[in-house]
Amino acid sequence: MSESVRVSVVMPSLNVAPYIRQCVESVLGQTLRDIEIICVDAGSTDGTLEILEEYARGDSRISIIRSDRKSYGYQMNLGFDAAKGEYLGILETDDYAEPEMFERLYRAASAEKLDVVKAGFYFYYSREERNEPCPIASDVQASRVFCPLTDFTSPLEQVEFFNIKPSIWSAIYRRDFIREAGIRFHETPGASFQDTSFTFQVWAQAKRVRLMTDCFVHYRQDNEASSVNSPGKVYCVCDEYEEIQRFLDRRPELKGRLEPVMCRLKYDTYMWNYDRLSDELKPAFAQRMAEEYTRDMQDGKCEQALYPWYKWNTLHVIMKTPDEFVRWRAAEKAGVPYEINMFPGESFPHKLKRKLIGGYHCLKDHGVIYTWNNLMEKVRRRAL
Amino acid sequence: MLGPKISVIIPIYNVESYLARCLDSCLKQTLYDIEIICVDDGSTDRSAGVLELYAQADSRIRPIRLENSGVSAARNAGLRAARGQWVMFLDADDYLEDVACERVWREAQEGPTDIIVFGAYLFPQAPEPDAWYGYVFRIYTHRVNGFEPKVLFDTPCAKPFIWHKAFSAELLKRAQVWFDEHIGLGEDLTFLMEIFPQAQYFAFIPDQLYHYRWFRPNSAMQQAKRDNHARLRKHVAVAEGITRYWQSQGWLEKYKGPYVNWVVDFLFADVQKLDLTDAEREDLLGEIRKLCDEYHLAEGYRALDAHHRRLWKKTIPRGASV
Repeated sequence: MSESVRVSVVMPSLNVAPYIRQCVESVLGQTLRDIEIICVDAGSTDGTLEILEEYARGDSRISIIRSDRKSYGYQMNLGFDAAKGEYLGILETDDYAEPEMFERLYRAASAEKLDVVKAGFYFYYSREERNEPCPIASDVQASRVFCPLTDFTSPLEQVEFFNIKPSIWSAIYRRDFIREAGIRFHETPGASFQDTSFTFQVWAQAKRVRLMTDCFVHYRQDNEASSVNSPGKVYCVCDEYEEIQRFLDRRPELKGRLEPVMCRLKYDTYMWNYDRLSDELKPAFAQRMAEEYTRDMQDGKCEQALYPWYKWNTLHVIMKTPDEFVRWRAAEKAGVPYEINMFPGESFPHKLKRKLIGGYHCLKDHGVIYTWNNLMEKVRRRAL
Repeated sequence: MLGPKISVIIPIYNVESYLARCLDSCLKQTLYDIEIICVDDGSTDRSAGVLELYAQADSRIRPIRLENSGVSAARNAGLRAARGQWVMFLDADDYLEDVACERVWREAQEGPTDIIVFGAYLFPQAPEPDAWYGYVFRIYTHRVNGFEPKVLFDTPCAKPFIWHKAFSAELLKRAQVWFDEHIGLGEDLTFLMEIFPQAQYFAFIPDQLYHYRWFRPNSAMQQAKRDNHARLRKHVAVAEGITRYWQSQGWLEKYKGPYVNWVVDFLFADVQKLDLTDAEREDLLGEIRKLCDEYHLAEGYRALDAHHRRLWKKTIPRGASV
């Protein structure tokens, strides 16, 4: 059998009894028949395992691995190590796939001996049975096979590519590529955004990648147990970026090229993480962002050309006064105008001196009319 | 369905000697995710062959064939076919800087943006380009949020060219503005006058991203320049079309002062200044008076400054009494 397995589908599961049947059946119903299904269960207690065993008795393509650790990364590594297929696929057990998914992905991949083929997905709201397509590429992007490290001539476009949703389960990966490149999931406890470092390592080392415009996986949005919905995991994303940093430290030839990209991605991830935290946790996380970015800036890892100006400015506010950033962001979310004070606790004579010097430079550079208008504008906004 | 980042629309008509350079500059763009829509407007030279060659070599070039029906029809066909998130226009005898699309896309990421205006190079440099080009391309970096008449009338780079501007597809879809296929001149001016008031966010950047061939022996524009009377008649027709559109949108009431100011600049000065026979001048003045009567432009007289009032009085003596 191992000779003819085209795709190994790894399915990590933990307490997903309400969703598992839909998921497994969507894989069993794939038009591509030569697949193996590797279920890696981390000790479910709600009957998930029993349902899986029931399916395994009925279909020899299913095998079950019992993971002794509750770690998404560890489960995935177990599954990837056991896989015999030419390509590796992933399906999370609260999602489900379109029947032609693996056939279409496999055909595209094997025809051109690609390292990775990635497609789009649907946001799936099960309560109202709504599917919202989320394509990841235009047909222009999908029309070529490229190497993410070298084939982008515009840095902005490269960042956007690395920034495509890290839906690792809407793609298939050549097994030999994953093994030769030594790509492993980060084995942190639970499900804590281990896809971040995995995606980065894949894009950094893949030589032949193709994107597809179609959508195949239905990505469930209303599972309350999902890691995306848990505000508790404050610093998981930081662990992921530390893992990426360790990866780059091992690979100096990639480090020089990709460190600025990593810092740019980190900004978006951290801001996303910041916004989903509860209010009590925000100041501490802002502090952490400030420390990390101050270090990154000093090391010269941040490249201004990769940031829109407002992100670059925000970065400086965070670095200089994290507390002010917290207040500013809260006001912004509430839709209230807010004047950022970059000099908290400044004495009046000091401030006067700063304003006079600033005013003098404004006069010199922009002339009387602009300075006057600017002054009046600030008075009107009470921003002096 | 996610569209490419930028659609570049190129109307093509008998430009065999310029087309290759133009398409090369598109394919050399640092931004890969673009589509190049080439509308062949029934060329009678070998342009179609060149286009065919390029389309076979790169799938990002999408050729469209039309019977000869004018540059406006070609651009409209391009607009209908465009699926990009941004739309740029490129003339087939001009070419782009390699970073043009990347720069436009970067600017679009900087905040909500509907229209981006960028700078351009002029070539050839001999004969020496007309001085007013320098005025049009004097762009300083700024953004405007929310339309106000001064964006359209007081920013020299806002008019009359469309090729140094990029439009967001969202705006084009919302505004539903098309090129007028029946006027032979000033269709780009009409387009701009109709679309600017519907946009909200404007970005002006001084980067020179476009190479504009301002002079081409025997080109349509050079020929038009020779016959003052015919050209000015067309100007009046263009102004008439714009005024009609502005009235139907209710902008004429809202921005009457600045608008009448522009009409005076656009029509009156040329009629007074240019070299015309008396009969031609009378004919044009009649047309202009008809336009002003029909849309009650005299109501905007009070908003004019002294210079424009003088022009107005000279052109429409009766209007002085308003």
